[in-house]
Amino acid sequence: MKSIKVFCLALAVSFTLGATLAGCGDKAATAGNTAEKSKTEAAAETKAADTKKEEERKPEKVTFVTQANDQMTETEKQFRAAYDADFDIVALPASELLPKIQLDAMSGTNDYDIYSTGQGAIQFGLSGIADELPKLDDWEDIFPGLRANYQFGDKIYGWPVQADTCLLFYRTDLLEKAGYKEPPKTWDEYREMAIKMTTDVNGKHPGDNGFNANKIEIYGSNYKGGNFDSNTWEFYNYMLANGGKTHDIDFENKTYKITINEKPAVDTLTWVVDNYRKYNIYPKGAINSDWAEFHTMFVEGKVALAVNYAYMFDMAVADNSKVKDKFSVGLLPKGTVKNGAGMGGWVISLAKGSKHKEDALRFMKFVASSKGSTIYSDTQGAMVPRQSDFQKKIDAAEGPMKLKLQQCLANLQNAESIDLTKLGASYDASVKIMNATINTALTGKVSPQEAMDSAKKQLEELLEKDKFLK
Amino acid sequence: MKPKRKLKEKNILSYTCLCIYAAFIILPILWLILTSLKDRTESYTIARPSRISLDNFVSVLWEYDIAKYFYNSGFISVFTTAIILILSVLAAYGFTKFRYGGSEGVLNFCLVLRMIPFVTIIIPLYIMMAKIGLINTRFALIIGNVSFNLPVAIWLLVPFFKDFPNELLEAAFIDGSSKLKTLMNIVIPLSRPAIMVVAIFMFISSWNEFMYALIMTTKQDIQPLTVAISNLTGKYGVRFDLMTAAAVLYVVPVITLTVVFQKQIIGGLTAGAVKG
Amino acid sequence: MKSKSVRNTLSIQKSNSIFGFLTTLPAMLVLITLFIYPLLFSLYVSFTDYNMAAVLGKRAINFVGLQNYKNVLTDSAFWNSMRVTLFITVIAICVEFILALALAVNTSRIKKGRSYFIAIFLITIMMAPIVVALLFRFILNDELGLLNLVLRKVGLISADIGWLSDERLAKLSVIIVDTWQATSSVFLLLYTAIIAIPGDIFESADVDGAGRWRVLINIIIPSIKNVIMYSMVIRFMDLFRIFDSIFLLTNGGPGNATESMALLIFRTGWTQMDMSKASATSYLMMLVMAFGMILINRIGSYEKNSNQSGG
Repeated sequence: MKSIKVFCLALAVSFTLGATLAGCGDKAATAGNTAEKSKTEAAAETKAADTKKEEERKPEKVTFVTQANDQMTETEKQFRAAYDADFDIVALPASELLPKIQLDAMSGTNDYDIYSTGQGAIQFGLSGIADELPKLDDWEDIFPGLRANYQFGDKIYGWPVQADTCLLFYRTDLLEKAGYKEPPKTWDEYREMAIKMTTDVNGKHPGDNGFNANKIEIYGSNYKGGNFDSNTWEFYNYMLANGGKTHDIDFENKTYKITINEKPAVDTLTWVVDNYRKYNIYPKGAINSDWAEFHTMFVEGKVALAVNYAYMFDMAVADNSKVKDKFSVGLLPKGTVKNGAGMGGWVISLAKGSKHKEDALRFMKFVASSKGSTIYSDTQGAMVPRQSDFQKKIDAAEGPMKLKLQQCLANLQNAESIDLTKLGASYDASVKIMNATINTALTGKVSPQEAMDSAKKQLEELLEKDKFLK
Repeated sequence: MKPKRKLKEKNILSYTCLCIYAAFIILPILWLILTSLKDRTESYTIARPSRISLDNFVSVLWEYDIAKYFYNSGFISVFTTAIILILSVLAAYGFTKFRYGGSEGVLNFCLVLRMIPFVTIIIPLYIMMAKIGLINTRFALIIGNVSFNLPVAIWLLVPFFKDFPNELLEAAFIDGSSKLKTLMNIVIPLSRPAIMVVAIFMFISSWNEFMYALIMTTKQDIQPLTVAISNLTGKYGVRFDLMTAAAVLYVVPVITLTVVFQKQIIGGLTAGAVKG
Repeated sequence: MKSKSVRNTLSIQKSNSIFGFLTTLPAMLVLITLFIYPLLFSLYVSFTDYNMAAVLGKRAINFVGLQNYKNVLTDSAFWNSMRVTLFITVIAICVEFILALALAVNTSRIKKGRSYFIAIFLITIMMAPIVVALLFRFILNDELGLLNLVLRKVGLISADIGWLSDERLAKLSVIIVDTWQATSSVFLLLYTAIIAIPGDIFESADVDGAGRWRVLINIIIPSIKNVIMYSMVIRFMDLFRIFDSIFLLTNGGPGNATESMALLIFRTGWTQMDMSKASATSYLMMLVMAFGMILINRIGSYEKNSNQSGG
């Protein structure tokens, strides 16, 4: 008993200690800030002096932080061969990339000079850890949707280094068997065809008498419905086609309105949830699936129609794929408004706290140039960001690769920016809110309208806390 | 004859229990090994691999230079374990045999440190380390691992030391042995099983540590194996094929160590019989 | 009791307590230098509106009193995570300790092959939690997973079980994964304690003709009660902070069925960079944990007392 008392006392003491220290914290923080400020000023001065000697000076080593992936070593190797100065590539796991960049900037460590992320550019720009960038010489050549991804108002916060978008994957053999000659043109058709192609062990389809939802052999479609980022990235393809938006920003008056609980968005969520719960065209496991489960199901031949990024094409044409020669790709179907498609891609931004900005900018110019971005996208298995480069690639390609690239181009021309990226400092957190919202709606515990209402509330709280536009 | 047969029956039951549990442990591991032999497209499927290849191991070993990370992990874990053992044995000796006013409270305070969720302290910890300039150093990794695990080490040793017979200590003191000498010559040798267990736990837990190392390092030259494994991802989902290969390589040294030093470890564990 | 007799015989109480202080000092110094700043900082932050946006925007940090605590306590996500965490912790502790005790007793009984079993059991704690979680994510997948395939082949099930897609089963799956990985460490502790029990106690029990259950309940458990208690406290703390496996297994889904408290704190503190709310949640979580430990302590000491009065 005595030990418990002492223990509670220790807790209490630590509480009071903390509370008293709370007062001192402020002063220390401001003192730290001023110290840092003078440090940066001093650094700027020395930098100015340095520029005079620019010609003789060897560029300093810059650090390039990016998401770890299996092809990064190859990218690094080719960059080294093509670039004349030294650099470091630091690779981090996807879930840690954005927080760690913020931590690096916030703590004043400033180890990273260039941030290479999927969609972080505006987030960094608006939260004040990345610099505004000038227009590249051939800026207009880059896909418009991709440019929009990294622009806030008229400010550019990142240079795209690769483009990416979703394709409609469909099984030609299953379509034929179900009596269809062409892939779906609208999302309503898509559902209709998916229902026809969802087949249980007895050959019955959803809605048939005696259809067994627990023993389905072929699923009409699939969805990355887990509580992961892939969920939101897939959902926005459908939502954009229906004209859904997350928000309306009035740049002049610096006001915004969250529109995620309005009809287009709610209808889209209802469509997805019904596909899962009512029509059974998605597997049961869709509620926990991420990229890996999703593409494995398709490559294993268990899914007839799927919406996914172009990377799945390369897996599906591989020798040990069960759907090789049995599938094709096409344009994403049309929603109530248009053939929407979310613009993926990859971007580089310049760290505000970078200790050698000129060298960093020089390296960035190389990476974002036609040559650099071609190396980047080729080694990473994605698509080049410039339209003229893309056309060249199509001309050079043949066979299934040509088909893939042509369909990618068609979708890229429709593709538009996923407007969560415009939420600045709150971007990453807003994606997490959407993941959880869609995932919760899929459980059927809340209606799509309730789910979106709650998402709106959470987004508003988040933006309020992050002082969006203020 | 009768008791012997009874013993045999008992043993059969024991063996059955242990075998069932061992199967529960081994099946997923066999699955892991099988997966490491498949290629990316098939890595998540239940089908048998269409061809068995060591490609994953080759690329993990050569392209990713996994040996470097092995060295880093080993370096960090060995030093962490050694420091923890010294500190925790001393502390547990003091906490159990030479209590002072408030020593119980201090002991419990140790545990409070173990209760903090990692995320809460990592940001101030990072800021602190950055100010002292310890980011990207092995020292920061070791000292961090020591601090995270020290409370557990002390808490594991305390019950064993508490049960250590005081008569033995008294006898030693009467013989004129100093307190520290008694610890070295009597307490430590007789508590070998407990210390062994703590050493194993501490080694494993610093060998498995991930988040802290990830946040405190940016240079690959000092990153441990866990961080390297987590980097084996693709842009669209993890590279399970490579990851399993790395995981197989990751457990191999530890299993080898266990087999080679089986006598010492098991001997250490069974050298008990302290209680008089 | 016994330490008192040491003191009496030596009758140099003061030098003893100084020695005790000095031996514990190095460990405490290491802990305090590393933890005291982060600990006090997060405590301070929990009473302010400190977050990433404020720091990067160079805004003044305001003292908001108990506002963060109030926000957390009125948040349904917090209470949900509390329920999830408590459920997982309680069930997993029970399962792990019963299993570990059974394994430890059985291992201590057998003569041949002991070390092989121990080596096998040790493998699980040596595996990186990331790998274990991913491995099980695919073993437990309803369409592609090994478990459903085996169950189907054996004929135990006809339709696939959604181990991770059903809300109730998802919690169970988290427990299964944790059991797979952590039971071995509990086993190792209990086993070490059991073999330290002097053999003559068992012999006298054999002479008495005590049954296996009576030996377990009357001899083994009381002798290793200290170790059980202490390891239970450690398991309780680790389980209450369960994060790694859930993060990769379900990331809190489906819905929020497996959103543990540590995961919630991770989301608020790391993804949203809202340090003040995350810190407030952590301190509330620590209070709950302290309460849980007092409970475990009390159960332990209650048994101690009843044993003493019985003997």
